Amino acid sequence: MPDPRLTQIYLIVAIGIVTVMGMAGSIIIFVVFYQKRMLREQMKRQVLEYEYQQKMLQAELDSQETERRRLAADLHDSIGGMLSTIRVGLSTMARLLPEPHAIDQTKQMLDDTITSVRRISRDLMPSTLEKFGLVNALTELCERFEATSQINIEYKQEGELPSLDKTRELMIFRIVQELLNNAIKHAQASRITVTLKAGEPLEVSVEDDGIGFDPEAFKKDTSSGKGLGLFNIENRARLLGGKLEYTKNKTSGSETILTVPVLHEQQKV
Amino acid sequence: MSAVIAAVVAALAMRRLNCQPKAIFWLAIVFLFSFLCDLASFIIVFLDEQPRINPNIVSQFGYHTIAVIFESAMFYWLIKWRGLKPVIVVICIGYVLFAIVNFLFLQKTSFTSFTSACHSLIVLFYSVLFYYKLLKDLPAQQVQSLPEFWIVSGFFFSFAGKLVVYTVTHFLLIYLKDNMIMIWTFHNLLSIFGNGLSGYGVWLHYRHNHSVLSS
Repeated sequence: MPDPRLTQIYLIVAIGIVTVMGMAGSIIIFVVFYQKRMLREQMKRQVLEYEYQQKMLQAELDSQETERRRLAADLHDSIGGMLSTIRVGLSTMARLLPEPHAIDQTKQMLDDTITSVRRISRDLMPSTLEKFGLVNALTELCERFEATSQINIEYKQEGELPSLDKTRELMIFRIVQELLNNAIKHAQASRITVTLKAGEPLEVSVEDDGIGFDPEAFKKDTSSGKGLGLFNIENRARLLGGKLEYTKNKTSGSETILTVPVLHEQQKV
Repeated sequence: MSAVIAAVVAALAMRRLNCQPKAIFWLAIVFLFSFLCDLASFIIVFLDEQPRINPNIVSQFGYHTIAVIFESAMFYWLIKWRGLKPVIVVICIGYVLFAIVNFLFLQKTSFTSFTSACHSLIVLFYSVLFYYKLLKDLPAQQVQSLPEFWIVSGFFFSFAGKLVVYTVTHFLLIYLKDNMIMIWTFHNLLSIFGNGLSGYGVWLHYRHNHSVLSS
């Protein structure tokens, strides 16, 4: 017959063990649930941070575009207007001079200046984009770059482009503009092809036959300002909810493909 | 039974030991040492029913004094916190000194339950530290998928229960002249449960092989 006092003590010990193990279990359950809660909060914080960054980026690009628009308008309306008036005045003066051809060189220089001011103004804010849409603006951009750079630039379009929001169109336009600029300035290309494939997602590619480039090295190179262009391109692509792909391993030339979802955009419209 | 589980976990943890993370290496050492101590006690009793050496000295004083050092090393690699090293060293030195003093002066004729209770407290402290670090670092979406979570939970559960057992052991032995059968039963049940959980953690580690342990 076991000692009832001892049995009672064993019972108390057993209850103690179960209680302590229950406490240990509750600590573990607390860890599991608290960890889950903290992860959820961390996720929420990350989403908020991401949204804030997107908004800041959007605001920065918007202010950039507003400033460009203002500059373009000032250049076109104010300086351009004044230069045109000076041109008219010069022509009138030339008629009064005994040797009218004496100021021909000055008139030519003034004409060049007026053309430059118009080009800069158009580069700053493409009026074609606002009036006739992305396709016409891209066509005009390619023609203009071809005329000024003496590089064969071909524009190809596959499919019918759906209507896009003006801000998004402007972003795509700026990306293509920057990619063309890069190809002309750094790639030593003799031929550039811009292709726009309408569909879901919308795909815009800029391909050249130049020396190619390493986007990572480009981004790290902050001294020459090369990286800034790519940085802006990527920021715009991010705001568009799109994706940028660089073809790195090409032995000759490079290709950059921008894919932008349009379905979501159309649903919003 | 608990010794067999310890041996199985040790064998599982010792697979390709050289390529394993350090935490798994020390876990293997902890379980191997636990198994060897149990085996030594068993052999002593098996060879001589009235042994001259008290088997409890091997399994209790020997095991509890040295196991803390191995467990500290294991927890150090599990917690991965550099600042913990001096704390661990101080704990280990203090604990070993206490164990020796306890064995030589305080509980020289009976079961060294004070040392064992201290051992349990140290493991509980390491476990709580591990959980704290887990909450701070948030290494995974599902904490249950982490092998180290199960390994530590095994230790935490079993040593939480053992703390109660060791706290009352001295009272039971000295004042109630207990034969320790129930104490060992409780102890072994807790060991089986804890070793099982830790074994599950080791199995998870081999199944995924890409746990935080490896990073």
